[in-house]
Amino acid sequence: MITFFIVAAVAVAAAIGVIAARNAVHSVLWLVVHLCSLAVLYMTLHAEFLGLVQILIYAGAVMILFLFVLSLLSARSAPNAAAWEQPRGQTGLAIAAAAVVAALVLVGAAVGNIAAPTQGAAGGAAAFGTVQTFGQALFGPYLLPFEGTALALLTAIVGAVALSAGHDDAAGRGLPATVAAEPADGAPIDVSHAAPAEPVATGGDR
Amino acid sequence: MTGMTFGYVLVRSVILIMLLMGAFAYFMVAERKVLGYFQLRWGPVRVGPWGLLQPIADALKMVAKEDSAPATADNLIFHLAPAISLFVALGAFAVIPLGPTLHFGSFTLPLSVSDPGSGLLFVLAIASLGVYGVSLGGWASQSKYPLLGSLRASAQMVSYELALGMAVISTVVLTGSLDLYKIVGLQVHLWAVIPDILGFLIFLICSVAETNRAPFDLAEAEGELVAGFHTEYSGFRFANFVIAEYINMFTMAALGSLLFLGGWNGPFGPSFWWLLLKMAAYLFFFIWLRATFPRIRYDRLMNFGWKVLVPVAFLNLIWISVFVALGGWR
Repeated sequence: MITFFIVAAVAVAAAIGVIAARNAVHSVLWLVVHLCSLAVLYMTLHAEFLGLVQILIYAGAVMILFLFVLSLLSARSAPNAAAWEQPRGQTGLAIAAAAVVAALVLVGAAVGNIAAPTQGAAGGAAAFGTVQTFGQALFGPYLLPFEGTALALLTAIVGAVALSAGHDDAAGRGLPATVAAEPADGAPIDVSHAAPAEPVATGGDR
Repeated sequence: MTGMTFGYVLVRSVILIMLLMGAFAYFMVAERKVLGYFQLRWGPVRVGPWGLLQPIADALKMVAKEDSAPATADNLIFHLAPAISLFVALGAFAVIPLGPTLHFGSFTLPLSVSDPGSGLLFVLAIASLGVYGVSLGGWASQSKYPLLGSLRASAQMVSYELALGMAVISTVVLTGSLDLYKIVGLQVHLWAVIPDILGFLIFLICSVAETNRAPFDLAEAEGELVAGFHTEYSGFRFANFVIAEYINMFTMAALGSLLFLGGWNGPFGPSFWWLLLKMAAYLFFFIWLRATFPRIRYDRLMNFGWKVLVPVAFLNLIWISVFVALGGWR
């Protein structure tokens, strides 16, 4: 129970950090802290597999892609304060919305009599949440939704590849013939080498 | 968790960390020696007999150096990144068993700090956070070479993690367990590498790429990026990155030995040494690669990862599944 309150406090603080941070990369880091504390919460609820996969997929793979894109787009650490749009009353609305959601959850918990998460609550079934039971559920009663999700994800991947491949072709046609041509071994030329040398955004003041 | 258990885990963690640090120090000497012999020179010979006190001299030098940071750096993250790297590297090793559980009468001593039922998944989950140290270190330095190095490193590590995961899953399918003790226990008569040679080769290649070692060390290609993501780091923070890289190598060597080479199973003698012997051979292979191969080009690295390793890993997984469906090795 103590673990729950400590980790829950960290999770809430990190979630606030995500929206309070002025720097996008800091926001991403707060989100990583939040996702990791959620993983710990899952583990205290004996959902071992869910907790580990939460770290592996969200903290380890999805957020790294966020970070990758952000460090490409906003290479400069100091946020440009002048470009910030000042919130116009959204803060109050957000707090009100959060209060409504919290109230709904509390009412739901009271009416539905949902037990508070304690370490002993799920201790009855030793196998609960292990990889084995999770896998048996996934490939047993929930096989159809699981395969459906797989199919949807595959469609998304193929779509993304098709879209980005088309984009590359369009960019390639716009380039001068010398740049767009490929060397004999078939490896594509890295266009950035062919472009005139220009300082990277952060390196200019050195 | 009672206080007694907590203290017990704490003591074992401290022992493990000291073991890893010692192993790091002397693996460093061994690497420089072996590289020296590969290149027909002596390696370190000046400090102590046969250069054996070299790590102490290196450590003193690292600690005594000025801890500098670029004026434009993002201060908090710049100082956090090396700590993240080291923390993740040490954390991943916590569930790796270095031998079978020892029994002294009624007292049992497992040779890993912790033994969650799905230890393999735990290692992969923690290790997947290792990219943060590298990519944040490069970004927080706020200068061009570290940024380029860290972008390369994150792209490379995320790409090769996929093939690595598929190779690991092939062993999981073969042994039907995520428990490292059980995986090793099932390899008593036949090592997993025999049916799963392709999986082992993929794991071997990916483990080199995951630890950013030559010939896949594009992230710190000194010929073009100065030192890549840790260009701006000095003193002990730089050492943190290096220690993390080497401990990650130990983790990969241990995983490779446990998953594919039968772990601590050996034909004779005490089991503990067999795992160390296999890890040493694995690490020697890392050094051998570094001494032999030139660094490969970045686009070739990514092409190789996505267009060769990932499809082959998928095919291997299908083959292993068929093998298991046909009766496996039992």
